[in-house]
Amino acid sequence: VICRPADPDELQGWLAARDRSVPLLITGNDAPAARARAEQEGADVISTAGLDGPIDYRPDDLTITVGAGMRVTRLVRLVTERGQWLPTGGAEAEVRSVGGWIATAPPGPFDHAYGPVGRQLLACRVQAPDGGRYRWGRAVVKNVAGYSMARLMCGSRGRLGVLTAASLRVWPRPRTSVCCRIAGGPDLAGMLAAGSLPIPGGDPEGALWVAGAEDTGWLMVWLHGSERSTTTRASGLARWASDCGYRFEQSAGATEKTSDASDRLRGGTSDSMGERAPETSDSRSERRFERRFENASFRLTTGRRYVVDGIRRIRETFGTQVRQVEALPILGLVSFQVERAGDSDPDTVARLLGLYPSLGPGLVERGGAADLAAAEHRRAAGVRRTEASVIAALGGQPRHWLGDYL
Amino acid sequence: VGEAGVITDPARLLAYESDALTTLRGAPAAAVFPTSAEDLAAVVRVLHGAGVPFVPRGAGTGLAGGAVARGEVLVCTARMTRILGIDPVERTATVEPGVITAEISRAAASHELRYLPDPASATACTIGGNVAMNSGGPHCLRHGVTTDHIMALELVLPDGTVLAVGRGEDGGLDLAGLVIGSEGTLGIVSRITVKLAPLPAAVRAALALFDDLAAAGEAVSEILTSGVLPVALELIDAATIAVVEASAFAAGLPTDVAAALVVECEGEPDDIEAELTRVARIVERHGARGVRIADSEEERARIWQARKRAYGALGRLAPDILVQDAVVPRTALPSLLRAIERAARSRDLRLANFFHAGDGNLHPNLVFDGRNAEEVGRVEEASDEIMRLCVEAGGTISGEHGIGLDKRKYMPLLFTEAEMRAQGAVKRVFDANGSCNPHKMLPLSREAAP
Repeated sequence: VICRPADPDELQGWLAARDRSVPLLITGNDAPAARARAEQEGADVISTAGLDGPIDYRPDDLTITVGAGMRVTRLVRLVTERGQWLPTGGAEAEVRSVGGWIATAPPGPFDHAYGPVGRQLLACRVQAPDGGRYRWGRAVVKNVAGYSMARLMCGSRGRLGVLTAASLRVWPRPRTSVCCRIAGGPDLAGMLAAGSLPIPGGDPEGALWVAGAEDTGWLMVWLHGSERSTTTRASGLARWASDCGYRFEQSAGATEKTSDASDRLRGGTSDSMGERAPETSDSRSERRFERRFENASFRLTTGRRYVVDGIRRIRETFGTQVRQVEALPILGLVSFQVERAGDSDPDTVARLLGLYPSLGPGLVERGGAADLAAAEHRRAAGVRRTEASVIAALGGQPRHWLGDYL
Repeated sequence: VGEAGVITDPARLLAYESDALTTLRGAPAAAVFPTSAEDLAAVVRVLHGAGVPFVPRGAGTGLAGGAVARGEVLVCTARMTRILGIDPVERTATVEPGVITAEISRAAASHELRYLPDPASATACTIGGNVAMNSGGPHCLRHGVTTDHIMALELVLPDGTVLAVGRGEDGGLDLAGLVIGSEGTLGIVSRITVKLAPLPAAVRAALALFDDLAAAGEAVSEILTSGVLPVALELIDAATIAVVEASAFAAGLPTDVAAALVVECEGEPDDIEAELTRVARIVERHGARGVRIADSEEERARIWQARKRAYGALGRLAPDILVQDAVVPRTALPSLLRAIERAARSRDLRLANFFHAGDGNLHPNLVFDGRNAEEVGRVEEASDEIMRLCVEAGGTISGEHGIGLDKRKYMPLLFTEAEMRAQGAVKRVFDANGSCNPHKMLPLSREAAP
């Protein structure tokens, strides 16, 4: 059964009438992969695609309230038209909807400078499986009244209910955004993680390392600021790269839209920057989004000092099956895909479990049920019990409410 | 904890009757001072076993009555002051809850790192208190509030068990995010891992003077939408300037202006120059009488002096101050400021405003004599009206001070019965007996709302 409510009342009515023993899967915007998964699991599906569009955009307050089913690409386009910006960091390639972005809270290349999804989310409206309907937070930039329930929704993967609307902080678009690429292997990511990459002015505003073939790759950094300072910083980085023999490239337009740069670079192969046939940002995101579901996707929290080891051990463990290895060096995270591996494949999970003991704090899943189980292995029993109690207290369903919120 | 770690003498307990909101008082049964996480857990286990409710307390600098004990035992973390480790590669510090907030940056400075949140009381308040209240501060406009800088917590639950919670890694819930800002109602934080950030290349401040407070508010909105990202945008009104300039903290501001706007930017020198030049053009367009850009650290300190010393200077006006705390959409600031002034003036109350304008975080300060019951009544009426006005404008009843005992009655302005029940259910997950900081934050019923 697929429920595609046009408004929160319809959703509440449908939830009240359904058989609660049937598993339920939430999909943000009718993702085909989510529907396929629901079929496999024998689950009902809620699509929030009908809860779409801007509800209240206040550019002068730097806030926007939208339906949770609104596509992230559309939201980014909307605020960009008003000279504003959301640091999604290419999240639109991982999730389709705003609700999916919040519920999965994927880390991005701008998180260290602008904050993660939780900082962007000011308020949300939630429909709990038990019929409860909540509004957590307000569309203001600070709020400590009551428990931080909106924050709790970030990364909750639908276990606490269906997000129906969200109020987000938007940022003034950076006056100048320069994207630089340096060709180099994991060591380059390690240098940035260790703080030994001599970027004038310290940390860049955005940073992402993308693996190429063999031991190659590209480190991408985004520099935000005045035209003068970004030019100075980019020139300094270019000089250092040249002195060390690294290939260096810089985005053509100094004012290139950050989201476009991110999407183009992440979507391209290591040698394709600027050489692909023209393609829209939407179609690039869509292609990448669909590709994600051909493989099993994982993310390792390695810590900054283990980024290089993490990348190498992933390759050693999965060999030629590994795809799309990326690192967020400043956050100490590595993500990757394992080709043709089901995310429930016991062998894949066993190999994952063997990976992380030497790699810092832990394993973070972003795929399906089995890797969620693998990740749970890392959490203490007391934490898991507390989480289950919190979910129950808020009327959620930890077991029958599949948390793959796309 | 030994005898030195317990106070039961009523005379000595007088110092623990209130936090910095001195109008709300209570008599604790005792105050206990553990010096380690293990001691803290043991103390809580003993209290739980004896069925004695308790109230966590840091340095007692809170402004909402959150650390007031009325017959409960105070569990004070102020002697848990060890910085357990700084990891310059991972850019983290692990600390005990009694560490003074400013000490973290001092300890990290040798690694050219700092802890970013800077509540006004950073040199006195503790990091444990900041976690409990999700504290902000002038520079959270750019840097974010406490929750944005906490990586993990160790929490002593109200039954004395210890739980290590993170930010939702490993597919879990962001339980640390839930604990941050819970005002000590879910347990007592015993260890905290904070994020550290590199020191900025440069910091500069500017001061703009206005003849019209509303024009200053409009300038704030335009600055923020212009692409400039200051780290702080603070407004000081005429009443505050007058009292600061008449005090020992005089900063040399003219007393015939309606408002002063402090703008601070940090980063690359070229960026700061460009941003402050742009700010100067904007404020001049909004009628600023003059703009002063600090050229030295001394001048920057002078610019900040009026803002930072304002609270102390208000003590000249009357024995008591009620520091209100609310947040509204920034564009509502000019009309709200006028409405708040009417709410105070119509009740013959003295009002001074100095606040985080960039965040829309208002701090109307009502000065009064707490010995005058009739005046206290007028202050309460004005507070009720101010809270209602802020919520009606789309805002909230606290941006950084918290709810504590002080604002419980306003919670129904924000939350439905179902939302309050849900929060009560979350509280019971952690504290089934309701023994941890009882009667704080969550209201008794919606009927209590003004």
